[in-house]
Amino acid sequence: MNCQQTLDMLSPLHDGELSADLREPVEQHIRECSSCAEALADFKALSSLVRGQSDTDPPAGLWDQLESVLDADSTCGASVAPTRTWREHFRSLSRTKGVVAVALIAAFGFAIITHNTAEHGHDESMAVNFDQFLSEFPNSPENAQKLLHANYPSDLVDVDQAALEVKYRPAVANALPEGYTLDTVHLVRMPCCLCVEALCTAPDGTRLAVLEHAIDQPVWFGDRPTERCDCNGRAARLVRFDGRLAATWKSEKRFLTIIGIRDEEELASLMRHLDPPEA
Amino acid sequence: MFLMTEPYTDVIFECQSGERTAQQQLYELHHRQAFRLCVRLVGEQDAPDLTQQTFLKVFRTIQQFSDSSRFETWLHRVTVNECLQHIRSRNRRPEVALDVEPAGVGSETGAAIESAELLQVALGHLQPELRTIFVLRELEELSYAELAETLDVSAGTVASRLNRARTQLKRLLTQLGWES
Repeated sequence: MNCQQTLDMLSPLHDGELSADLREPVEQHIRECSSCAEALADFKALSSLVRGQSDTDPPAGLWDQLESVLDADSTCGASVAPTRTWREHFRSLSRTKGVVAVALIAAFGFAIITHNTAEHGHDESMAVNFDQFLSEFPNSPENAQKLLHANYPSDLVDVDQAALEVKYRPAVANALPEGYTLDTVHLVRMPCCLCVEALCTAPDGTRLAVLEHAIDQPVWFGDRPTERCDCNGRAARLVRFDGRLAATWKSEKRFLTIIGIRDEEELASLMRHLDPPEA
Repeated sequence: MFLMTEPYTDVIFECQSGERTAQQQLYELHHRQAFRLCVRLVGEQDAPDLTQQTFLKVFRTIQQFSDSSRFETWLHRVTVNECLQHIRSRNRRPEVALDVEPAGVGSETGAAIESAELLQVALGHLQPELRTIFVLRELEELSYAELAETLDVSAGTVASRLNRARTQLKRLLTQLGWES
């Protein structure tokens, strides 16, 4: 038994996990080797250090917050990602003026939405004004995204994590058309709807936002006129803004919205990849 | 349905039916353990969030819990996954990555901070996978078989990771002024 072989088995020895037939030769080596004996002593000292630490108590009120989220789960009947978390409750008390302004804009948008769209039932509670989102998107997709995230808890995830949370394979998990890249994926918790929101980059460098949600939650585009079109056999609604298109349609099982499309041809291409017809 | 040795089979069964009282009972039984693990893996500041997220995940997915594993092992796995996901997400956001938790070594010297802080600082500098296995072994006293099951690695990987974790941790602590 040499030093390297002994060191490889030092943790199992220290943890009492070494088989009897190996234990004796390892211990024999340690008795004769001060270097290996010192390494074992270090391991013991580390254990003493860790086990000598006192525990911190969890803060009071954790269960109450957890219960409120579980209640929301029950009401929505949806499996959703972690929402407004413990720290966010405290952060919200010290938001900057800029965020307050964003919240006021969103609240204003919400007021307009709730006033104008009573016929949309539970859509009333969707307190994000996509007119604002569309206005900001051509200037800065990131800022438009921040506007969304300022109003709704969001988590940066990868596609696999998103699939785990929403319990379906997000459309952006499909291969994008050649030359397109998937930049970020967020889970955004909206009322009664956990939305998968992705930012992509087209080959010409323009940005696209893809939103997917499982519950019927038509996306509003403010007062902008909408067009209806049949694209790849899907009935889509189109809105033109700043030389770009936003499109929303119902796929087989969910609802998809793409913002920032160049034209109908690009929409058709993206649809074929993101929402291919079921065989 | 569950192992006969599971001491609170009824509670878990009721949780699977969405019973709020049972959920609270399960939370009361395990939240200190989960919080303690989160503190060691992500730091005190983020530990309440991660504890909350862990139990949300537990209650939302408890239907998947089966008799093939003890509940504590499953809870460990969920807690570790939530913490590692959080660490990865934090590392992808530069503005947040600066908020190094549980490290925050700053300019403090080993002599100036207590051993608890010293340990937390050193743990924060370990790779998340090494930090996780070290904490699960030393703090939660999981056996190698339990570690392998929780982390979905082989027993050989458990041993080698623990060796690396301890060796690197000792080196970090020594650099910070710790004298064993």
